[in-house]
Amino acid sequence: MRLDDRSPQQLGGAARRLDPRTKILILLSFCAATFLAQSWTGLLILLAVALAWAAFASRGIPRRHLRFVLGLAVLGTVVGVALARIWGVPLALFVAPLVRIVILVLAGRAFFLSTPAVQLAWAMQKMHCPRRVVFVAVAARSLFGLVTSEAQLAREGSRIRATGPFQSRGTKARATNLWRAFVAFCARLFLRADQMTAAAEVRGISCPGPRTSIHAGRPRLGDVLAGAACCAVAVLVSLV
Amino acid sequence: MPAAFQVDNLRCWLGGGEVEALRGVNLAVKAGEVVFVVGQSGSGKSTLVRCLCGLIPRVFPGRISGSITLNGAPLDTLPPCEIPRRVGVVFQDPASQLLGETVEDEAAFGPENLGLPQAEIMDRIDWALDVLGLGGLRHRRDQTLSLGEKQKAALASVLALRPPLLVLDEPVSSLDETSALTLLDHLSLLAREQGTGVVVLEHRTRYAPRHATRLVVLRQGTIAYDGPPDAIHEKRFCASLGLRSPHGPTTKTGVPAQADPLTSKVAVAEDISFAYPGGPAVLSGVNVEILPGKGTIVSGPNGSGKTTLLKILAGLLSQTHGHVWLDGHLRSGRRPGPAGGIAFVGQEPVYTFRQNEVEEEYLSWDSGRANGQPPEDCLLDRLHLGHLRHRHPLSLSEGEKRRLSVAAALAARPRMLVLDEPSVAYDGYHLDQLWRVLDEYMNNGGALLVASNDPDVLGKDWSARLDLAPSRAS
Repeated sequence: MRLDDRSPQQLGGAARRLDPRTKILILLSFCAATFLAQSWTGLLILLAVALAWAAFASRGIPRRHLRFVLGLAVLGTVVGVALARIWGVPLALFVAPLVRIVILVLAGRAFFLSTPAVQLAWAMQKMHCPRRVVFVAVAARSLFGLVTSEAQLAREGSRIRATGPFQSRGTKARATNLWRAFVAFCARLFLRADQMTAAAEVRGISCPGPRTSIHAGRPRLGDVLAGAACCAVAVLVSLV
Repeated sequence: MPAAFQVDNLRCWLGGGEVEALRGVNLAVKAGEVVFVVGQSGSGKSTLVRCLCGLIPRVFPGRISGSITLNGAPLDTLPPCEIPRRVGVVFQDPASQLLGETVEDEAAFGPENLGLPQAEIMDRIDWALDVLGLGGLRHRRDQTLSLGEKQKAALASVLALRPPLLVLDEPVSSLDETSALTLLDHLSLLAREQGTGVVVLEHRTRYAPRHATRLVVLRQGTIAYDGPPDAIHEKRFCASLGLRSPHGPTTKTGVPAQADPLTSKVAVAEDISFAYPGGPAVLSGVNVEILPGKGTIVSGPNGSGKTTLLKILAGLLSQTHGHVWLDGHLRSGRRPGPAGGIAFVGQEPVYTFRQNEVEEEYLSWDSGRANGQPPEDCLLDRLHLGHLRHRHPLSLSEGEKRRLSVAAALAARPRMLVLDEPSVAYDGYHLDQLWRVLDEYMNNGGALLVASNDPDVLGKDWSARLDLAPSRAS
């Protein structure tokens, strides 16, 4: 967690200052390019751009992203090698989907980190999305933060539990403990999602008509250029 | 002028209809009235709120009968979008109500949904943040706020809607005394000058005589009292209805133990400082000694680092500077780790539960049983959980979960018990029970460390007090 009294604009830097509609366009073109890219060069370019975006969005060394990429790479290699040895499945068959997943998750994370819920709602409204779709997007954006905070609480709870007199010993007991922590996590998540829906309802998320925004503004030249550049990269990558 | 709201013979069955939470409630609140609704845990206060804003059965499962009118219009004829214009609601858990990124976004969320012009939204945000003293936190991210600050942000988002009726479910439960009084003063002013109807559901009855124009007591889903708030001063009024006394706690805390406190300090924190990575200092140069048989209270405004200090002492966080001694042994500050003999009960206890039944959960913490001794006097009965012993811990209400976590922590017979905001969601009856159990724990030589903003906790006769100054982070 990071305590900071700087403004969000300062926190997110250039990635946050971009018009949210530009960011939606970039995300969509990224998703399309990830599925359309056929060559390794294309996938690696997309991966590099996704990492850079995530790094800009989280402002600083993207250690979490690198850990995530490395973790998935190790996991994928282990699974791939095991399957190659047992069933003779080619290793390359697993690597490409794995890289695609990494790109999509990184791009999604970068998008969420650099786009506050209110900006997202406004941009979607401007793009004539139905209210319900806007609400689902805002809820998904907020759930992202909810999952993180609940995970922190769950971790803290497990550490408190570790101070108790009875410690789980053996694989079965540990697995049961893990399962119960997971059940509590899911129960809390559903409860909080319910409460969040209620909070959004009583704050007028269902109101018809245009939604305004304090962040509303016209796209600037920089937004247009950034959007065009990213779309061009996506198209090129798909064609390579 | 029609009543801000009126309910006639309101009955409500929750879930599949097996629990009747409200049993024929009749209540009307006029414009300009400030009504305090109090009652024991489970008396139906939160259900009444959910019914008033139409969330039952639209969002939460349940069935209602009777009639609800908002500003003269029957609730069931109003489209969902019309309700936020007529009633602003803040629920109990502030963390689940934050949908924006920063405090400013939060306050803007409602007015933006109503499609108000940008200039008016900014005016409303300025006003709402000013009322709650949140101006300095305007650009702070929600994730970095303390619980009290989150509560203020949730309140700001509803105040900015400027509805003719405000319904606030425990709005001051996590606020310090100054913030609570400021908020209630502003609500009274809103009611007087703008004719806003205000309904406050609270356990802290001490605010009712000064701020309320009317007091309503709910008991088992019905109204047990509806009249002037001064009745709360009457002898036996609070005790008979299970409410907290407006005069504060009646029991004393911190009986000196037999042990020599100078030679047996349970924990010592020396020149403790703490800052989250990349952030300003939350704690700076804090010194505290925890003695056996003594109760120590940590107080301070929202965001002053109370919870952080407790977590450092309980081994859940590492200080960035300073030393912590536990039982005379220096604890390494580099990495947090389990602190033996210290039990910590945080603001969200559900993640410490690992069993399928309340009784199993309690016994799983019983250190006597772990050492082969027979179980001692069961705290479940004393904390009014005996009738729930076969229920799943996750199915309990918020207050019941908190009582179970305290019972479980005490069953571990710790040298030091650390409680973070222990009085939240406690009514008068259960709070008295809790103090009795904690007094007994201290009489047996246990050390108690409590962080709280609640005047009903601060008002007790504590052996030692530590008042934290506002941190630079806030």
